[in-house]
Amino acid sequence: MASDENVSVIKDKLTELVRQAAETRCRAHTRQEEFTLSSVEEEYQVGQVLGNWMSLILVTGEALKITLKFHFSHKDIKQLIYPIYGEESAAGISDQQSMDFVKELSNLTAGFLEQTFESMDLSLGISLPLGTRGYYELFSDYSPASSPIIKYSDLWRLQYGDVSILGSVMFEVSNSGALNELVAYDIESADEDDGEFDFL
Amino acid sequence: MSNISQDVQASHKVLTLLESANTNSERIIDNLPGVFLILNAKFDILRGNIESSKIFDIEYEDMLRTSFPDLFKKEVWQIFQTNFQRLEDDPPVKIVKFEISIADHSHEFSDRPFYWQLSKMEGSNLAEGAVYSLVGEDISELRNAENRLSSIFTNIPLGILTINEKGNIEDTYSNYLTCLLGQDEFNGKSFREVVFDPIEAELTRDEKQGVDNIYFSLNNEERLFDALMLTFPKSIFFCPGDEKDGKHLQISYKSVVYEGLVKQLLIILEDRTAIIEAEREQERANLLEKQSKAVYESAIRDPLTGLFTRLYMEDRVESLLHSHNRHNIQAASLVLFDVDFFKPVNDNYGHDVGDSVLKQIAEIILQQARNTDIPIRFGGEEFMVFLPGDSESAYFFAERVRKNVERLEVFAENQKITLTISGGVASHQVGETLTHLIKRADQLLYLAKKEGRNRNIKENVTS
Repeated sequence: MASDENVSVIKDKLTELVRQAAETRCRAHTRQEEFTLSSVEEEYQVGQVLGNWMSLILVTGEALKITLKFHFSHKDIKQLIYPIYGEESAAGISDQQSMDFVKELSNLTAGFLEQTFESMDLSLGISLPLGTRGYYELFSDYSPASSPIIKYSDLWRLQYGDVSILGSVMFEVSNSGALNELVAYDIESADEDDGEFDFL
Repeated sequence: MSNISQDVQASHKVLTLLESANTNSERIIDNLPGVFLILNAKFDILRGNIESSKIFDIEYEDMLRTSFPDLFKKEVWQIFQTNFQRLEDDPPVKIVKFEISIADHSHEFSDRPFYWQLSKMEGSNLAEGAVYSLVGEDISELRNAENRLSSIFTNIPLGILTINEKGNIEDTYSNYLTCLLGQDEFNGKSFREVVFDPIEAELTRDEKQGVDNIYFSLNNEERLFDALMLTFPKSIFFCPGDEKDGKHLQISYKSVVYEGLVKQLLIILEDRTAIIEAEREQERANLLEKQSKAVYESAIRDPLTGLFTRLYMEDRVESLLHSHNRHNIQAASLVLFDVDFFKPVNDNYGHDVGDSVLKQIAEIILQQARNTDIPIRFGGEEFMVFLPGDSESAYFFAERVRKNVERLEVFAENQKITLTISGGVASHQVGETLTHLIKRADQLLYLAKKEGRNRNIKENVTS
């Protein structure tokens, strides 16, 4: 069990790590370096239905479970990816292609996290990404807790021009002691391998 | 491959299947007809089907977090809001149903009615608050059908109403009821008061008992109703004022049963005044026709002999001769008979015997005549028979008559009266008038008389 001080740091580090993973994978996957991640300080809050569509992926192990969701609209994603698919306009992109693109983003982000934790000798598994409607958020539980497991969440926005993808993350730490190595972990350096993994 | 790896693969497979199943369910929701919306506590749209986006004229993906109240004019939204409030104010109420008309793209009331079902979803989301589902069904077709049906009902020349278990009029379905009963306010009034009280003095004792039985049948067992209904007044003359304005009403009763008891009666009043008057008119017309026929018969039939009269001759004989003139028939002939020595019979034995003689001779003529022949009592003891055929066949006919008359046995005052008859047979010549034909036949008859009677003469042929 980590000390209270360490728990606080671990929570921050986990949050930062997932944010960085999402931002860097998004830039790489969309080939848009201008994609930036920022906290959501507007009308939205975690637990709300944030997009018509949602890609959900789970990174999980004995000590930690991260539920990562990308909330988006096909309209935005199609606008973003049609050049990548060699189409002349967003109309050339199908809903399925749009969904597959975001699922792949989820996969890349989760894979990056898995690799990062692996380097800290923390073995985690990742699920297949699940694409579904955003309104299933109505049935999710983001209520925070500190005991017996630590539960908290994070909400951010990936933005490029008018295209916006919201991300919500639920962290569930059941063994903070196993994450002690994270306290001293340099997240910036984790990004050095950016783009080298291919989880497909 | 390790067991763990196989487990992961199996889990991934299951997840893939679940995702596919979920996609299919979502597609079903997408394609639901009418309006289907999920709303949060702030009335933001969280989910909707494709048809909703078309009805509210929003891009499908833009529906998310669209404020539902913004889709309507204030007055329309207030009705929705009242119904949302009903769910909050009365927690046992799980579903609220109501009807509001909305218009495509105009955000206003219109004549496109929707039937709405609003319910609060179980559980709540901390971030969204209460969550509601709203289903709207376009019932404009239903309403149109109802309106058409209602239009038929209201304009049908029947009075249709229901009475409740207390015998009070609950609903009326026809404008014609006003015309039938001479008033326009029915709801809540007693059926007896409206229909039977104004004519109470005219009702028989049985009819009054029948009215009581209507009331007795209400809120009573159905099987009792069937027996009592036999006594209900089914035909009345509704005449609260001037008799000439009275109406013959036929009343039919149909029970509406709930849990074995008669809770309502559907009553149909049919104005049969016109029918009854038409029936009476028809009866009068039938009588007149019968009388006219009798008059006509008496005019064309000789009451003594049953033979046609000269009046009839005008039409039928002219028609026969006309057919001959047009060569529709090959020939037409006339036999003119006269009873020999008839006057002494009348003088010696009286008119009764004379009449009897004429009657029997007429019977012989009728027996010998064909359906196409026209036997006529020409007057007194003279008979004539027109035949479609030549003078030869007419002559044979005349001979048969003559011989039968000769064999006739008539008794008067214990004496046998011997009777004979003479005849002149003339064949019609094309273009010849009836008068001329009769004249020629008469001349031949005269000749027969002159040559000794009891004979027929046909243009130089004697017997």
